[in-house]
Amino acid sequence: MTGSTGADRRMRTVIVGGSLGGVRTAANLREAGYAGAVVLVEAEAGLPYDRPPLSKDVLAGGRTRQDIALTSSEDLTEFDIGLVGGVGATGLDLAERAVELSDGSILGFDHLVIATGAAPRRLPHDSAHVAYLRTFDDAERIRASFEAGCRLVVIGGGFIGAEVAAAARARGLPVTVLEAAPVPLARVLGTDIGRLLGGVHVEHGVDLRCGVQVVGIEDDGDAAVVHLADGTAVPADLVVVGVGATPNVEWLAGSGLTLDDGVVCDETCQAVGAPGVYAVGDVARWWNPRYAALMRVEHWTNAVEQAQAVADAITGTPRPYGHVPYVWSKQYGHMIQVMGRFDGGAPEIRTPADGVRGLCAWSGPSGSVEGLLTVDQPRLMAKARRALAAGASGIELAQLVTAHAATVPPSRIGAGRV
Amino acid sequence: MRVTVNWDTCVGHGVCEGTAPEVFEINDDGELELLIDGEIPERLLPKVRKAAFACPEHALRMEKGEAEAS
Repeated sequence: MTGSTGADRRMRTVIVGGSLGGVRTAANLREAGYAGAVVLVEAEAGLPYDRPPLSKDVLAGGRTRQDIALTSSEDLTEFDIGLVGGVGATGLDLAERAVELSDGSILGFDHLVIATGAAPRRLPHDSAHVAYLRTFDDAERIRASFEAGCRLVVIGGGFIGAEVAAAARARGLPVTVLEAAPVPLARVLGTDIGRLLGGVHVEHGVDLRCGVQVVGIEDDGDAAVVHLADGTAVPADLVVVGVGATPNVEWLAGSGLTLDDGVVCDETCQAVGAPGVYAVGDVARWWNPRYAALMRVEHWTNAVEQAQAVADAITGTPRPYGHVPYVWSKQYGHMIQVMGRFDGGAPEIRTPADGVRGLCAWSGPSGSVEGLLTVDQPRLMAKARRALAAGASGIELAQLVTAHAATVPPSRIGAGRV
Repeated sequence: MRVTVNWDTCVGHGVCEGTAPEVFEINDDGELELLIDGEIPERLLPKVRKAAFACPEHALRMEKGEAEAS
């Protein structure tokens, strides 16, 4: 037990940001027997909730905010976690070890966990018909627009954009996806895989336009017109923008913390040069020993695993936090899962006879697997992730994956390019 | 209390196993198995509750056992 040091004063951990990383850090602290006070500060009012369902089940309809809650009032009480909701952090005073809050109050801490996440990157074009998807209210607004039968334009062909497009197509709405790159997802997964996944949009009736630049969005009565660089005008009732996110670090400006695309942390997730200050989730850019690189990972699983590493550090057992990225996306009835990285050269791809169901792709240097992508093969992914967690090497992973892929007929992509 | 799995939505992300390995295990076929089928021992309840909240597919649900319900 490392929580309390003296009889006169109770230790306090302040967690700024009550989303997945913050909530899990709080729960992990209690599980480890941390005896100090735990205060969770969250700008949004209400109970913390989970975000992956926002672009999936919530858009599909029928999921309430309570359905996707990350904790309950009973659990917060039982585990003695103080939730300060509807209040944001506006500043950090490292010398005084205190956080300044938007209601003017000051909250002192012994340990600070920065879990403020990331905000959608905004376009310079302003319109009443533009929506971003980050909060439950955002999702509800988009869903309401779907229910009103909107013509949808999605800007950005990444996973978020793809999920929004798929949810709209499931309702039979007309959807146009505008992607700046020649191939969607190519930067992360390479052009071959990007083409295959982009093809799924087309298969489901989406008007996918790649290599296009949005130069303006103009309000036109009850609708909007999206103007492209080539002079094309695309009418829309709703424009959803999914072009990446930037870490929420504005409130830390001038605090003395090293900020560079997130809060820069060492391998134990402690902010560089700031003992007792940690970052978790989308906002953390930490030295990932697994890749010997500073990384910021915006995926759900990273927030969960990093929250454990941060709680371990606070309770006296800091450890290097090595992490292999893992993300999944549900679209058009498919489950796409990606583990690791695809920057190790041209991937091996096994495609089934038709469509992408059963698709399996992997990449890595000299016959090893550093990155794995599957479509509708959750059991293969579960096996691979489990092997990885048990310490399997890239070569061992390759054996596991190729043994499985042998059951899927090989078909190198490239001949029939989209 | 017992825990139930919605097998239609579980895809084996394995987060529950990481949270409460005493109760959840992804087997060699990549499928989730419940190691305790029935009443969850009191000492494991906090972990299992955390696992239920942590399931990315929200496929785990805590339910009162028959003994408590009747």
